[in-house]
Amino acid sequence: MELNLSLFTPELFLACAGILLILIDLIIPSREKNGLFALITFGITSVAIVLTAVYSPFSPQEAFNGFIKKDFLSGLSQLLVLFTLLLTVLVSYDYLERFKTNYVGEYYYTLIFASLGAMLMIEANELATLFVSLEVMSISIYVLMALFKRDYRGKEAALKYFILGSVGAATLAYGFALLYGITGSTLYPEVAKALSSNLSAAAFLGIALVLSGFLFKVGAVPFHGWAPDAYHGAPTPVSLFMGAVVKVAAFVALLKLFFPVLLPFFERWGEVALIFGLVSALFGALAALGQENLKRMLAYSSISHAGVILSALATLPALAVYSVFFYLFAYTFMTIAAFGIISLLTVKGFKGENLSDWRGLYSKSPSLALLSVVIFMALAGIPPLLGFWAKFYVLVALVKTGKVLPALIVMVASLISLGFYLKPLVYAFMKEGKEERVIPGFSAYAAVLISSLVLIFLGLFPEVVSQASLLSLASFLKGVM
Amino acid sequence: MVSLMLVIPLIGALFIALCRSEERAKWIALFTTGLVLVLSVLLLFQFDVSKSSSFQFIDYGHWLPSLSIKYKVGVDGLSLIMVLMTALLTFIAVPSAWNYIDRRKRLFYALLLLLETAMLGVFVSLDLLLFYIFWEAMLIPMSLIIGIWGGERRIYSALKFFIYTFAGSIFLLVGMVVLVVFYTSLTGNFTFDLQQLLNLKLPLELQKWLFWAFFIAFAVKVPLFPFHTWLPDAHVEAPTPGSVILAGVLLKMGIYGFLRFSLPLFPDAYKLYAPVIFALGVIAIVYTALIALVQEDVKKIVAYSSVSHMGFVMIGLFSLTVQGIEGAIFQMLSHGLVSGALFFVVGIIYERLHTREVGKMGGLASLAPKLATLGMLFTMANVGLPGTSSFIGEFLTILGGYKASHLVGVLMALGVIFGAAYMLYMYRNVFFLEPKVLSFKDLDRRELLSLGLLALLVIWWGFNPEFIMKFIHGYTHRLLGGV
Repeated sequence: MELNLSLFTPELFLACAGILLILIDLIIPSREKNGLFALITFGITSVAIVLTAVYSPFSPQEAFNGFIKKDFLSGLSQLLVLFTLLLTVLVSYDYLERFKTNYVGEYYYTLIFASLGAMLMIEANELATLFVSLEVMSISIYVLMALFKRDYRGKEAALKYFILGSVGAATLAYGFALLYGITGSTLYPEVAKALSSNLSAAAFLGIALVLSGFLFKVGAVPFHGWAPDAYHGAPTPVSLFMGAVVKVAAFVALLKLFFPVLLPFFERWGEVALIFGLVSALFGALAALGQENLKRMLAYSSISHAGVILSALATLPALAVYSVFFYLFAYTFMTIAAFGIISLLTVKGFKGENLSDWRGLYSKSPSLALLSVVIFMALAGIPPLLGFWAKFYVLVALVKTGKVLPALIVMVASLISLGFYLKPLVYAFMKEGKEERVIPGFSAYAAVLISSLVLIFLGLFPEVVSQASLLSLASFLKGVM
Repeated sequence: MVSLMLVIPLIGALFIALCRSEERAKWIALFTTGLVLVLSVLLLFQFDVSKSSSFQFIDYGHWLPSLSIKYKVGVDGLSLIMVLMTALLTFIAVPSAWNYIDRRKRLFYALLLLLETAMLGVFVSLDLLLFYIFWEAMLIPMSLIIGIWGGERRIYSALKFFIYTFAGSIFLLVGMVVLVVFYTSLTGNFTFDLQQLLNLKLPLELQKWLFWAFFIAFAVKVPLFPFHTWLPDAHVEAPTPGSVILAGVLLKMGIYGFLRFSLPLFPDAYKLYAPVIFALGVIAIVYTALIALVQEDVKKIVAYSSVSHMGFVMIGLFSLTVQGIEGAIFQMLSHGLVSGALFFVVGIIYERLHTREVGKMGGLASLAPKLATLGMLFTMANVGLPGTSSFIGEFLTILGGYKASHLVGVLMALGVIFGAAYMLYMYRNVFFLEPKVLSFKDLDRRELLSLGLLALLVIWWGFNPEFIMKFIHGYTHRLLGGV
C-alpha cells in the first residue's frame, strides 16, 4: 500500500497548470488573450507529452493503493489524448480568432481539464475513479460546447448532451453501485475475483448497466441519439476534441474493464459486443448516407467506426487490444484531420459545414482539396492510408477467431460508408463553384497538414503503429495475467 | 529494376506537383512514361525466357513484419507482358490527352502517373496484400480522372465505377484473409506471400467459397456479364486517355487476377464452375454484341465491343486448354492495343467534331485519309481479321472453347460475326456515306506517331505472335500441369 506519487507526475503537472491558467486568466485583461492562452496551453501540453512519455512504465505499475494503474497501453493512449489536445489548440486558435467569445481563458483551461479527465479515465483501475474521471471529462466538454457568443446551436447541443450524458453517467453509476454491492470492492482485481465466485442476477444486471453506459459514451446503437446533435451543434474544434478524445478514453477504459473483470464472469459478453458493434457499424453508415451537413455525417460515421471497434472486442483479448489500439490511433488522426478541415473552411456564418459549401473547393484551394482526398479516403479505409490498416487489423482479428460473416459485415459497412465519404470529394473536385479563394488560418492548417501526413506516412509504414500496438498489448497482458 | 519502375512515376508526379507551369506538366509526364516504357522493354530483353514460369527480378523487403506482410515484387512471363502493355498504353495515353485535357493539366498528369504506379504494382506484386493495396489505390486516381475531366454524366459514372469495384474487392479482401488464416492453421506460418500460398492444397469446400469471393472482385473488373454495367458508363464519360487506360489496362487486371490467383489457388473449384463461366461468357459475347449493334454513340459501340471481347477471354481462360489460356492472354494483350487505339481514334474525332453520334458523322474518309486508313486497320483488327493480332487471340480462344464444349465454340463464332457487323456498320457510317461535316483536320504528327506505333505492333504481333507467346508458354504449361 503506497501512494507512488511520482508515477502521477504528468497528471499533477497538468492539473496544476490548469489551475495556474485559471489564476492567470483572472489577472490578464480580457482583450487579445487568444494568442497568449493558445501559446501557454500549447506549451503546457508539450511539456505534458514529454512527462507522459517519461512516466509511462512498460511493466504495469500502480499508484494510490491500486486506484490507478499505468501500463504501456495507457501511456500511449494518454499520449494520443495529449496529441489531440495539442492539435485542438492549433485549430482552436484560428477558430477563436474568427468567432468571438468572452471566455477565452475558460475555453483553454477547460480543454486542459477535459484532457486530464480523459487521461485519468484511461489509467483508472477502480470503479469510482473511473466514474469521477469520466465526469471530469464530460462536464468539461458540456461547458466547452456552450462557450461561444450567440451560438445558440452550440448551447442547445450542450444542454442536450448534458441531459442525455447525465442519464448515461447515471446508468454507469448504477451499474458500478450494483457491482460494489455484490463484490464489496471497487478495485478491479478484487471485483474480478469476487465476481468469478458469485454468479448472480444482480451481477448480471450490474454488468449490463455498465456496458450500456459505455455504449452510450462511445455512441453505439441504440445509445447513439446524442451524437449527431452534439457533434453538429458543438463548435467545430470542440467536435474534433470530443470525437477523438472521448472515443479513445472510453474504449481504453472499456478494454481495461472488459477483459480482466467482465469477460471471465460471463463469456458471451463478447458476442453482445459483436452484435451491438455490427448493428452500429451498419446503422451509422446507412444513416450518414442521407446527411447534407458534414459534421452530422461525421457523427454518424463515428457511430459506424465505434461499431467496428466494438466488434473487435468479440475476438480474443490479445487480438482485441491490439486491433482496438491500432484503430483508435488511426481514428484519432482521421477525426482530427476531418474536423480540422471543416473548421478551417468555417469562415463567418457557418460555411464549410454543408456539402454545398465544398462546391469547387479545388479551384479555391487545391491543397485543401487534395488534403481532403487523403482524409476522406483514409476514413473510408482505402489503402495505402492509415484507415485501411485499422480496418484490416480488425478484419484479421475477426477472421482469426472464425468470425467470417461479421468480417464481411464490417466490410459491407465500409462499402456503404464509401457512399458518403465520396460526396465531399465529388463536390470539391467535380462541381464548379464560385471563384473565391479560401485563406486558411495558419495554425489550423498546420494541424490538418500534420494529421494528414500522419495518415499518409503511417499508412505507408504501418509497422510503427503496429509495434506500438504490440508493445501495449504485451504490457497490458502482463498487468492482467 | 521492377521497383525502379514503380518509383519513377511517383517521382514524376512529384515533379509535376512542384513545377508551376501547366504546359510543362505534359512534357514531364511524357518523359516519365517514356522512361518507364524503355525500362519495361529493357526488362523484356533481360528476362530469361527459358525460366519464364518462375519469378525473376524479385525485389524483396520486410514491410510490416508484425503481420509478415512483405514488399515483394517480381515478374514472370505473364507479369512481364502485362507490365509492357501497361507501360505502353500509359505512354500512349499522354499524347491522347495532349489537347483533350484543357484544364487542371498538372492535376491530370500527376494522377495519370500515380495511376501508372498502381497499375504496374498490381501486375508485379508477389504478396497478396500488396496486390490488394495497389488494386484499391488505383481507384482514387481513376475515379478522379473520370469525374473531373469526363463528359456530362461524369460524376455518376465515376461513383459507379468506384463503388462497383470497391464492392467487388471487399470480398477479395475477406477471402484473402480467410485464405491466409487457413494457411496459418495448417502450417503455423502467417504469411501473405503468394509463392508460399501457392504450395497449398485447399479442401474443395473452402475452395468453392474462396473461388466465389475472388470471382466477384475479378469479374467486376473484367467485366463479365452481369457485372458489366459500370463499363459503358465509365468508358463513355471518361476522357480519351481515361478510356484508353480503362480498356487497355484496367480490364486486364481482372483477367490477370483469375490467372494469377483463382486458377492456381483453387484449381478444383475453377474446374467445377467452368460451365457457369461458359454460360456467362457466351451471354456476354452475343448479348453485348447485339447491344453494340444498335448503339448510336461511337464510344459506346467500342465499349460494348470490349465487354464482348472479354467474353472470349473468359471462355478461353476457363476452357483449361493450352490453346484457350494462351489465346486468352494473347487476346487481352491484343485487345489492349486495339481498343486503346480505337478509343484514341474516337477521341480524335470527338475533339474535332464535338459529337460522338454516328448519325452526325459521315464521309470522313475523304477529309481525313490518314485517320481513315488507320481507323480501318484497327476496325479490322477488332473484327479479328487474319494478319492482325486479334485474329490469333480470337482463333485460339474459340479453339479452346470448342475443345471444352462444341456448343460454346459455335456460339463464340457467332459472336465474331456480330462483331464484324457492328464494327463495319460503324466504320461505314463514320468514314463513308455522304459527308455531313464540312471540314475536318487530319491527324497531326503527334497523333500519327502514337497511332502508328500501335498499328505497327498490331500487325507485327499478328504475323509474329511467337514474340509474345514465348513468354507465356512456360507459364501456361506449369499452370495446367497443376490442374
